[in-house]
Amino acid sequence: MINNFTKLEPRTLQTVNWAVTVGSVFVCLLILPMRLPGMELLSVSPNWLLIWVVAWSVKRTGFEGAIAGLVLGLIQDGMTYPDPTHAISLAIVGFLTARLQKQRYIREDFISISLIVFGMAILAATVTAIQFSWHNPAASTEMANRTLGEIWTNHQRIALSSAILSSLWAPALYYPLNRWWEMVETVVQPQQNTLKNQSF
Amino acid sequence: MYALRRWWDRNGVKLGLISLAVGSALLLRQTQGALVFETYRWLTQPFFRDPAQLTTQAGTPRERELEQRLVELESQNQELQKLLKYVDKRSDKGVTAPVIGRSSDHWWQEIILSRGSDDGIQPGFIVSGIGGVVGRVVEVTSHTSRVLLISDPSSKVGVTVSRSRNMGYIRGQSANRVIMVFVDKVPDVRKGDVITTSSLSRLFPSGLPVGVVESISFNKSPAPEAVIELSAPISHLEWVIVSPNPKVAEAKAAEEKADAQEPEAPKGSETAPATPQNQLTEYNLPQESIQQFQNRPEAELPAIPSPEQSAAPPPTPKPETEATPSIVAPEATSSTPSDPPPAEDPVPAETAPALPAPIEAVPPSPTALEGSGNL
Repeated sequence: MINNFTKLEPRTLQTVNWAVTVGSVFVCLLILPMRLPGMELLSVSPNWLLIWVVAWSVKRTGFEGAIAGLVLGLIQDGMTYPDPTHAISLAIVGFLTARLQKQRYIREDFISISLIVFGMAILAATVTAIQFSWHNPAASTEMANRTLGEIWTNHQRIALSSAILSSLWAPALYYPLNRWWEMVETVVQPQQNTLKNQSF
Repeated sequence: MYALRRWWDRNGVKLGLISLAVGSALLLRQTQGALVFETYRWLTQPFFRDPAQLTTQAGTPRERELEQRLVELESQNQELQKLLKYVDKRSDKGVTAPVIGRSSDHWWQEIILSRGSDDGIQPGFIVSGIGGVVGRVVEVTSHTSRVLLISDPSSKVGVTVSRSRNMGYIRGQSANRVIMVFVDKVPDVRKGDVITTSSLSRLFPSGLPVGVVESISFNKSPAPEAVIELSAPISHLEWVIVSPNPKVAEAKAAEEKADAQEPEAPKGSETAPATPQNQLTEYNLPQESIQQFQNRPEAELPAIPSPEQSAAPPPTPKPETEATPSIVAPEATSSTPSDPPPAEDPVPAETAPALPAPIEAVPPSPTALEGSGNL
């Protein structure tokens, strides 16, 4: 199946690549409101968009990671409440994941991806909780109805459950996406390199 | 110039792709994810049973008997209301909708329904499940709608104790419990009392069953609190009934009227029979708390008309607060510092007997209890 794609023209392959990438985001968005058995812990489900952002950012630059986080965060804002925005937490996650990998502290395999997702899920929940607390004194929006105690009690529940669930489900999304992107790179990269060498 | 062109050659495509991605994300955000929800609904449609099948299922003989008695009592009630020339603003038409999803975020308690504006649902409509009120529609696409549950911490609903008419508001705690904060220092409330939406609620019509008192703590400051067990099984709802909200319709009509006429134009259709004194004594409040209530600063008070005003129609509501149903409490400030951890126990569906709503006096004015968090 993958071999068929390697025979494609690089330009066509790039188009297919973008379609697959956008398609995978869309699948993540569709799973978000779902609560399937095994996907719920204390009425919290995995943070699929966070898993996607981590999978995307692991082998990319910090800038690309941050942009991906920003885009997915904006979409999630549309699907829930835009205030506080999800874009900030996901952009931070994308940026940090990309930086983390660059330093080569962590070898790249399933376990490490799960670990990164675990940490990032806690980070994302904390950023959101800080956003909620930050807005609290303003007392002008719906968020203002949450007291600090409620926010941080909720934070414990959400951070822990979403971190556990997301890290367990992370390989399910990371493995196919990573395989696909690796394949595209192996086909496209050599051709780009030869083009560059010719031009010089 | 050459450098710029080289830069463009290298990064032009990337820049284009980034702006395309951000642009489409903003578009999705602007349309409230309509595309995603419509696709989701289309995909999940085959897996959900027609709610009509569920509603027509025959119950046990006991249930059938109770239903028949309910019909009898309802018709009696209507007769009596006719005699009293009582105008019921509640309409019975509702849309049955299957629940196809939950919130796409962990911080908000929401459900997604498979009926939308094509079925006549609008933001602000009331959603109820078996046993009682569940939430309020906040966002609608053509075939789906998003409902903010009353168990969400941001939902503040004005409620009253059915037996003693003591009032307060509820604050969501997630799952099946909510906290009721009383207006009164010494409320007349007991374990097992039925809680319904109050006539002072701005977002919900009065008399909808909410839940049952589970425990009470009188020594909470600034006001006593009670834990309410919601009568609708919020954590495993399968289908719900969406009905129009007379309060929102009223507010809209009032706003249109206010726009058409001068801002201070009185509303002719509504009359307020109760003076504030009657209204408060009817709730069994002790004398001192009535005085305390009346001596509050104007900003915190729900506007209760004075005796001479009560003969005249109530003032037109402020358009900016009344016309936005998606915002629950614009100027609420909660000052309870410590809260018990959220209860997570699932609750069996048949815990609470949902009492039929008592005939409520016409509210003195469509005021906001939800907005005044310190009451």
